[in-house]
Amino acid sequence: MSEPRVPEPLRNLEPLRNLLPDLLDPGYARAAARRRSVRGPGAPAHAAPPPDDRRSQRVALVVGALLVGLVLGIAADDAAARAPGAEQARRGLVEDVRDARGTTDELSEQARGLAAGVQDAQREALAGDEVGEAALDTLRRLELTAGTVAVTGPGLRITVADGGEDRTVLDRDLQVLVNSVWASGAEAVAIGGVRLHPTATVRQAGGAVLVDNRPTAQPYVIEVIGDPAGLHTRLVDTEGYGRFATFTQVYGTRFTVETAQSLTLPAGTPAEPELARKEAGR
Amino acid sequence: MIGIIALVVGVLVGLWLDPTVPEWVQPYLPIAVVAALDAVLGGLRARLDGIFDGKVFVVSFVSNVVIAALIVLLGDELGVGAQLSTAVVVVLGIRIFANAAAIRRHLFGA
Repeated sequence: MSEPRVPEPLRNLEPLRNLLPDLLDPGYARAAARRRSVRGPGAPAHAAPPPDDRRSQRVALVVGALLVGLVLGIAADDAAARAPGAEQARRGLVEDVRDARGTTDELSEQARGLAAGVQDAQREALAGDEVGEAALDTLRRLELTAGTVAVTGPGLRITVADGGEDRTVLDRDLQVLVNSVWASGAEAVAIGGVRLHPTATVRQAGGAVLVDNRPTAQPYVIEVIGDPAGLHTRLVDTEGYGRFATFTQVYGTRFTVETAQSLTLPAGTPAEPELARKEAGR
Repeated sequence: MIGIIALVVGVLVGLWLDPTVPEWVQPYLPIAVVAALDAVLGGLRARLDGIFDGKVFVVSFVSNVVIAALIVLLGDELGVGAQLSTAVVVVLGIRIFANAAAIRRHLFGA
């Protein structure tokens, strides 16, 4: 058999070269040489060996082949048993996630329905007399600021997104921008369709920005309800606007402010009040 | 011939026994498979070369599996487990390829 040709670049790499040429276990050649020397130099390698040697050869072959077969069989069996297990576990988890999501949707739908029922009941109970009307008015104002009711109205739509591959827009930038928006006279604010209520947070968790603990994806769309012209005028003077104007120039961050005739912001989900106190004089 | 029969019997027994492979053996199983394939192809080639030897076959197989397992174990202990496994697979893979090529040359003369 001719020696396999070694490619030119490999000739200088001795260790690799040692791997390449003749890869048959040298033990075979040595065993053959030994047999030949036992039987005399003239005897060919495949000449019939003595009977007892042949028997031990056969036993060794059978044992070896059995071992090899066992390894292959066990490995095949193991692989077959493993793959469906992993696949099943994955499918089960996906199923669980889907179920949990469905339950969440169902429950929030139910919560929204119940909240509407409560509001109707309040209105019915308070409407009619003057005191009740005043209380209802206060309640409505409080609900608006607490972000517990959906609101519709004109306002601004601010879109923010990273310019390139790098993350330049962080949670604190969004926080500054949102604070500037409130300072400019916003009545209601939502980021990525999540309404901000007084205790809502905007923070980073790894690569994702969580708005009121719900992950929000880029581009971040901040919807603001308020008088569009006044909002815009005041916003231009704020720190948040200045920060993003700089980002646009330095990092190529996307930052657009546009007027929207009608925005609808969903109700937020503020934490349940745990302590209520009657104010003096009421 | 008797070797092939023993091989098939071994595979069937392995499948039929349906053993639960312990967790700590798991990383060594793929390496053992590669070593087994190497032994089979090496033996087949030796046979075609007319220098097959049963003892060499058994010893080379067992020692290959043991050494491969030890290298993987060493890699795990050193914290470079995957890389050393790759080394074993590469070395044995090259041998499998070369021996398969030699067998092909024997059988088809090309």
